[in-house]
Amino acid sequence: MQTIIKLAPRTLIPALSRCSKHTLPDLPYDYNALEPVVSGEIMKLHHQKHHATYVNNLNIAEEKYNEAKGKNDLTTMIHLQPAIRFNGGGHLNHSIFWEILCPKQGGNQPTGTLAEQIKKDFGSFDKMMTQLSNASVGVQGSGWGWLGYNKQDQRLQIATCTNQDPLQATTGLVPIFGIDVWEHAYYLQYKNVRADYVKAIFDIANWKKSDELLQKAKQ
Amino acid sequence: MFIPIIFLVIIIINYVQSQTELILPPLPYEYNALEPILSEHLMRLHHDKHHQAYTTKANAALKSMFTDETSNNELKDLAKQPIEVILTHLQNLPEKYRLTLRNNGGGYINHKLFFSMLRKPTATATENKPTGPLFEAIENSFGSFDKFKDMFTTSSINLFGSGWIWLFIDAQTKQLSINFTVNQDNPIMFDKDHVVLLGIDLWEHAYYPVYENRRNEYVDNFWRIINWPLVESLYTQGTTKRHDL
Repeated sequence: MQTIIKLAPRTLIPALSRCSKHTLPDLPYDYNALEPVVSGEIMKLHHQKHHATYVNNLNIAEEKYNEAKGKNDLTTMIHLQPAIRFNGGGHLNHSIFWEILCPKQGGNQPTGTLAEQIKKDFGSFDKMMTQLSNASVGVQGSGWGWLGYNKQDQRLQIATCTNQDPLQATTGLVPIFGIDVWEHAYYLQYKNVRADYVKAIFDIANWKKSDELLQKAKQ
Repeated sequence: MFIPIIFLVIIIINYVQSQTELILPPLPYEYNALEPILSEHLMRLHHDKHHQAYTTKANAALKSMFTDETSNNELKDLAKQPIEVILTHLQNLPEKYRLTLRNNGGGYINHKLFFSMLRKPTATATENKPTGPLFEAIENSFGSFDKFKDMFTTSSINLFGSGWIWLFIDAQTKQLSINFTVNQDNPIMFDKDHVVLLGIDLWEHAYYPVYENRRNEYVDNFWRIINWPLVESLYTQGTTKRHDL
């Protein structure tokens, strides 16, 4: 009983997903904490509807997949792979996204290992920001813009992914910072002006978290 | 004395024959005509911002292609053709123009078609149906009109990311098909004989201001705003007139 009461104010997770393998993570901040960059209205929809749907549909697909696997039904297993990719990718991407954002801070710039690596691989933070912005604005349709770490070459790179394709699974790059450029991520506030949203999102980048992710990737 | 006149005439002829810019067509109805299915606010954004942006960017690409010194005569001729013709020859375009014309030229014709296929909502979805040869053709191809509706609806709900679901006819075989395209692709990009009859825009911008994430509600309501007489005329054209693309 106590667990349910603790979870209820923040999230509206139906009982089913709490019992299933994947669960909707709580946001590390209140829904309106990222204002004025991302409105509370968008954050609520984005978390409670979009991310929650990916989690629910992932659990459904995985259950069917395990059932098919148990029967050695390869046809069904393959048939389910797109659903696992879409919804699994959606869950992975959004779980990372909530963590690499934080309430607005003045003079927001990376420090530590991340700052050094950015300077080494891009020349300057501004150059990295420009490249990531251009790539993110340029995504056709739905997708994500990413700053990723190439473990093999030991360098940071900009990449984009379509739909909910997860960065690491599809490119091998470790996600360090990313921007959701699906229209649902910004439309209610920025309408069709994706460029304004991409520019503003750097004000709420949690560079401390990105630095942690980079340090972990370099181990 | 004749030489300057001849030069002038040549200049005028070149000007007249240069690429005609794509014009953003106005909506064939008031911005609020599709309420409550699609709000005035949504229609203003969709037409005045999105469709306008595709038009502007397509025109910029076409102009670049036409004035580019490295464009050969064949390419310059193609740049002067109707946008539908250009889109059936994407593979002939240099890489620097191909993607931008695919996305923006595609966006231009998709929205031009889409907005023309809509009209004031009927009271219910079930009462809004085609009549005549198109109705018969749909019943023959899909088993029944309701089965067609189910297929089209399911495909629309299941499409992942940004794209369109289309009902189109093959001008040669007269076969009706439902299929999807991603982003701003149009069926003619894949086969010049594919004549679009009906399409639904499934980019989030097409429904988000009214329906938020509830795409299935948007798709269910879409059946109330289809302009079937217009779709029937596209069917008649598609089955009787062959546009040489």
